Amino acid sequence: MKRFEYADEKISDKQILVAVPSFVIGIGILSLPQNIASVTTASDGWIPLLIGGVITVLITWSVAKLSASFPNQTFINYASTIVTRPIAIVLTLLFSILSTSITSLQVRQIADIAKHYLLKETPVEIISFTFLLLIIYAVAGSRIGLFRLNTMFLPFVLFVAVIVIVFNIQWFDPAFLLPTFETSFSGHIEGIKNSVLSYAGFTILWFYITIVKEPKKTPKMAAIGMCIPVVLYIFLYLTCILVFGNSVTSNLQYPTIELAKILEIPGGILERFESLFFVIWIMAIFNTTAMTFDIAVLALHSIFANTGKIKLIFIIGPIVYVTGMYPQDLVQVSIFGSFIGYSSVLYTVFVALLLFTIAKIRRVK
Amino acid sequence: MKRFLSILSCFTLLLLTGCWDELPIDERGFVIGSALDMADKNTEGTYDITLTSQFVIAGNLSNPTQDGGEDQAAFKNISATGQSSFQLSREMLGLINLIPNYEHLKILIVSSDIAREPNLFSSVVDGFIRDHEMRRGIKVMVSEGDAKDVLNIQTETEPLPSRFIDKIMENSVKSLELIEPVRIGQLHRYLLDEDSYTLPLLTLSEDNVKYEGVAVFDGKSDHQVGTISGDDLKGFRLIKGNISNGMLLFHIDGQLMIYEMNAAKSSIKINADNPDNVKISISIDTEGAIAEMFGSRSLLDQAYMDKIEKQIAEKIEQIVTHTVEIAQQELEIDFFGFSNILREKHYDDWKKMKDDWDHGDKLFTQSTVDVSANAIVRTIGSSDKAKDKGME
Repeated sequence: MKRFEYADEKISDKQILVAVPSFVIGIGILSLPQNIASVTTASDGWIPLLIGGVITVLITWSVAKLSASFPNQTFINYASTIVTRPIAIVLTLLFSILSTSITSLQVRQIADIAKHYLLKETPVEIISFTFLLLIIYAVAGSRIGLFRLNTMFLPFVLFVAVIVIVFNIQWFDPAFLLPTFETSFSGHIEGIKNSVLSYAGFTILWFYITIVKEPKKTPKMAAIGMCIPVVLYIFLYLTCILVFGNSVTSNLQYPTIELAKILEIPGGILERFESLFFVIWIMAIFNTTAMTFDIAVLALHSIFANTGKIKLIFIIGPIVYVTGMYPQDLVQVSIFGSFIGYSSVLYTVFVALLLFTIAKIRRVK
Repeated sequence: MKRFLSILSCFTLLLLTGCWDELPIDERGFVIGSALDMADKNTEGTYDITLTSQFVIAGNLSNPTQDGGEDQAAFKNISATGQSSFQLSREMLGLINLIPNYEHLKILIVSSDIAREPNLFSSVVDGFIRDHEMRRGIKVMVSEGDAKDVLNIQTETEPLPSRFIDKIMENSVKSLELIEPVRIGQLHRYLLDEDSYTLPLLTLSEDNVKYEGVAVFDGKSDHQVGTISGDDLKGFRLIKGNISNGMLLFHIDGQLMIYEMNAAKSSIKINADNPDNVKISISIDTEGAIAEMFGSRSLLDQAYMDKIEKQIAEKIEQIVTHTVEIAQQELEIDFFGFSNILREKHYDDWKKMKDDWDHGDKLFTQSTVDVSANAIVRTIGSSDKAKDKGME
């Protein structure tokens, strides 16, 4: 059996525009309104979401800019030119470890949610195992294939999100928006922190911009792509507030799923919309997880160039599974989740600053 | 090696069939209504609760017996007693051959015995809010007397009692003496915000059920403190505003007349500068038609019309003022949502007095409520008068 190979392993900058939101939109938004509502008053959460969004777009743009100034060079290559090869290897290895942990977290979380809402009797281990197998199948194929999947899935994901918002308009109560601007300063800071964590998706830029054919406009495309989840998240958050009110939103585990649950398409055509919502959202989560797994492989592959890709996948796969199954309960999963979230944001900022400063000092072009 | 791998992958398929959650639809018992009753109050402060679930028997629902044979009921009510509603729903497995499925649950009736017990109500409905199978659209109501009897009523028009009550709740919007259905999602918010609120109240008479009046709940101590009905409930609805249908009885020159409201809006302004004397002014605007009149005076007379409109406005003011008096003096509970308006529009003042609003110092009972109403009669119906000369 011969696998179909695409002509070249190159993508256009439009595909980066699609990849960024596909990567960011995933499990985070299902619980994000709760995180935001619990630290803000009434509908004030849009402020931290917006500020967090602007911060994220800026980071995205600068990472893309840095990466695009070394066209067609892999991360390890240009990092070596800037900070010498041993340090570059360490940086890449850390990226690989980070991506592996993100993958295991995703695999675990999707299994938890699927078990809670859909498959009550099926063990978490089995749900994650099947999901992981699917991810491995996707990653083992061509990388360009992943990007095409992104382009195919993203419209569905955005469409179902818009449906959730539009058909909930009948339940809107504008009184829930009041009082405005009463959140304390520390509440805003906490909110910004939560929102930045949920937007975090810069890791892919370090590695995927290197395969963009002409990366001139890529920073702009990445920034525009980053705006999509920011806008979507703000709207979904406001919908939650308008439908449930602040107090209920901050007490629901997955407010966004609850939104899908109360939705009834008029005329009784579809009374259980959440089943459709789940199908589509799992597609979104699949994209996110497949890309993180791919980056873990890609990063490792750039260090051990002689080892085959498939071999690396089968080394990382079991690690992902075991790490994902390690946390015992919901609290441990969320501790693991916030740890991963923090490290991914801080690490990206750290690497960006490091490379940028040293490149400036050593005048590397 | 290749062959080994392909055999291995075939065997993996066996593991991946996902048959854990398989449950054929004819083995599921769809519950469409639940009732909670107080069974026993134990001495150590715990309660025994009876959960009654109404299972649909789908076969009898779609094929009514036509040959005059005995009617098969389209539902089966199962009761179980214990301490938690979730435990009870599991206990039902031993009482019926079907696996209960609550995804289509439409109504939840709580008996007023439970509702009147302080700090119990939210605990018994918790399971219904928490369980992922339950939807947030379940309508919640209180029943005077045993809730499980409500699920047993016989009606000719609808084979399922739960659906009968569900429909009654939907239609209630047409009357001014009933409130819109309260869904469990809303109830969740009332409980979290500690707002005082109202729930529809069902009364059982003979084997028929009647929906008249509402049960008033105290948000803080979480129990039913009273009921209101009739004109007082009209006043409550008028304060809440947002009415699209309703009628009002009034007298003019000793003659009865009926005003049919097509729209009523209320606007509430609160002045909270002085917490010991919060000034609440309610202004109500209604529009409507004359639906029925006794007597024979022509309505096509501007002066008479003005008098009628004034009379209606006065009647509204009188009704609303009385409702407020009941709330302030009898129940001492703000169930109109004034506290929400304070929180939304006067957040700084609210923060200071939120513990003393309808508790503690009971600032609500000391507040001054001022009601003004304005009524417009748009049409008088298709005929001016039914009789030419009255018995003047």
